[in-house]
Amino acid sequence: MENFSAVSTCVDEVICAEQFISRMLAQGAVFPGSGVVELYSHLLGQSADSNEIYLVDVPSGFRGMDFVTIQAEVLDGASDEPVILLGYLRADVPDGDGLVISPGAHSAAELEYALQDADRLVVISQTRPRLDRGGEA
Amino acid sequence: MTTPGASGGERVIVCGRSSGFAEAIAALRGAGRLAPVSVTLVTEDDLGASRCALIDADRVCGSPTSVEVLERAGVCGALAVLIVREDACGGSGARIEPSDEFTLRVTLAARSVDPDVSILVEAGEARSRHLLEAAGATTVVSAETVGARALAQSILNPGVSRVYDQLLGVGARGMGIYAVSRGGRLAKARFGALERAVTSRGDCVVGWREVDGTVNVNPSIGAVVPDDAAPLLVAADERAATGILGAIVLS
Repeated sequence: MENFSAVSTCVDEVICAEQFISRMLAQGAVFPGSGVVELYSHLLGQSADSNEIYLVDVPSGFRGMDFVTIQAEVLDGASDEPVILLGYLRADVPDGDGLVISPGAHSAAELEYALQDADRLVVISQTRPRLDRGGEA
Repeated sequence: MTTPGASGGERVIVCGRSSGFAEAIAALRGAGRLAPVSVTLVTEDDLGASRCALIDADRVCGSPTSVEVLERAGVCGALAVLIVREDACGGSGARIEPSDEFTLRVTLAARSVDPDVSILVEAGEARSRHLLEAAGATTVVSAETVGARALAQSILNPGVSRVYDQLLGVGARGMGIYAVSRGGRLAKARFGALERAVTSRGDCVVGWREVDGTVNVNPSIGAVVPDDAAPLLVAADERAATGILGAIVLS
């Protein structure tokens, strides 16, 4: 992976399968039976009942809210199809560096950040979700 | 040759003869485990093994397909054995690729040394999975399958590979997903109540793992968490995950 990191390219994303798999297996090795490898295999699966990770636009009704408030709103308006909010991606931070997973683990500023129009929510869902309140996702 | 230390503690044995083991050992170091884990590399690759000095791993020089070498490395009683595939050698038309023939032989040897140890294998091809499982692998991950699926998801959903990177602990903001035993604190809790309690602090719970290893991802909010299940929490490390579960109050 280090071969890529120092090179400025025109590509949007670089996927290093070796690094990806090494980290999956390492998690499984140090936490035997934890189900972590099975979890990632599930998320990467493509069967009808598997979940995937999606990046979706912030619905208009959620704009200006912080992540915790949006999580509560999504839980309150839970539909038949469950959705888990993992974090958000800030549009004003370049190169994907504005990705915040589980904001509670980071700074207060990231926990209290009010999501803006061009930001995106990171969710786990079986299909691309249409989040409540605002309707568009 | 450096022999495994006798300092006790839990040990993961990494077997392989490709450049992949360096990545694997680095990943083991960053896996966020509360109790320290020592690492022993078993390889015939002297050049690659010399790099282990930089990442603080013991090493045993010899073929990991040898029962005697694996016994010397301490496979018996190890926390886990991680088998990294060798570099691709090209198609042969045989039932399995040469790279998977190597991992198959290592799997058979490791299983004969310890019938109970957890063996995790990186397979080159998806079709090798059943052979490796029959040989005794506990978990098989196919590089072919994972790479293709990750690429496909990124095409359909740009940016998702960065999410996986962060969830798999890459970079300064790396996180992980940890199964934390709840110790009966959440008896008869519905997943919605657990999720509400965890998310009220800005943290995330993505499902649970049952004692038989079954993983339930993104269950409905009305689903009752089984008594013996462990919630799957997103956190910086195992300590933080334990802290999240310890701090929540169910309404």
